[in-house]
Amino acid sequence: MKMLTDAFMNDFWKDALSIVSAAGFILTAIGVWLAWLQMRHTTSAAQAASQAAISAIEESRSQYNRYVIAQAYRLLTETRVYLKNNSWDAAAMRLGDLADLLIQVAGDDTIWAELAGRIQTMENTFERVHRGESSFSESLKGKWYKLDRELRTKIAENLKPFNDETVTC
Amino acid sequence: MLNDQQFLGILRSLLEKSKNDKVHWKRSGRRQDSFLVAFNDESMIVVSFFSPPSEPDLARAELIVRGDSVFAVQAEDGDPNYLELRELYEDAFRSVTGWDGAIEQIEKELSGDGDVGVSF
Repeated sequence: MKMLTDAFMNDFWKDALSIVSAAGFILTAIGVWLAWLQMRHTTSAAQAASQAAISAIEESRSQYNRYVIAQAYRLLTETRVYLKNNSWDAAAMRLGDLADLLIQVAGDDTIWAELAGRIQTMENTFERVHRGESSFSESLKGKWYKLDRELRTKIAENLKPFNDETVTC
Repeated sequence: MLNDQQFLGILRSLLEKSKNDKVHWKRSGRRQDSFLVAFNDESMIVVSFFSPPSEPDLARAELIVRGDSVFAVQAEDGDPNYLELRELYEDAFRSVTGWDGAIEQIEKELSGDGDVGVSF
């Protein structure tokens, strides 16, 4: 007769159950590990995609800024030619275009912003010279040469090959 | 009514006296590049010089009576009156800073045989 205090399973079944439990635990752990690996892979893929998008935007911005600065160089050269011919109104117009262009790349760059402001004032001054309300005096000539020199330096810095500044300017 | 020519005439007389060190110029409290001479009837003449970075240099003289600006002439570099106004400003600057006296002293010391320079 079977007593209530008798063991439910004999030793063989107990061992078998232990082995199955251990195997189950190992399989669960492997599953968790695989899931973690998959998650990591997915995260790094998302990060890579995001980084690639950021790089693409930065590259586009850099290309655009280089284009704008090359245009600025052209406008500055034209302004110089007009000044040489005493065409104050044409020079003023080119300076206005130049200021509008540089405002686009100024962003957080205080030097570009300051130069754009000075160009706008110089544009008004040349318009006044054109109307005969002012003259291209020696002091004004000196101020124009200074502005021209500073602009050329800043443009040259940004048009250098492999220059990182164009990305952030 | 005061006109430009009358005021410029006054400024010319002021320049003559200033060149002979007979004007008590003071630095104006309002601007660094401004000098004033006060008269007994609470009027004053203020001369100023401006050099904005992208505009022509500008010299200005202003008559102030009991705090009110009653007349002013100004001229940009290249204008007919610019050199006169600029000269008046330069002479006020010389008078207040005393740079001419300093140059005289430096030249005197350099032409002597002794050591030059004060040891601190």
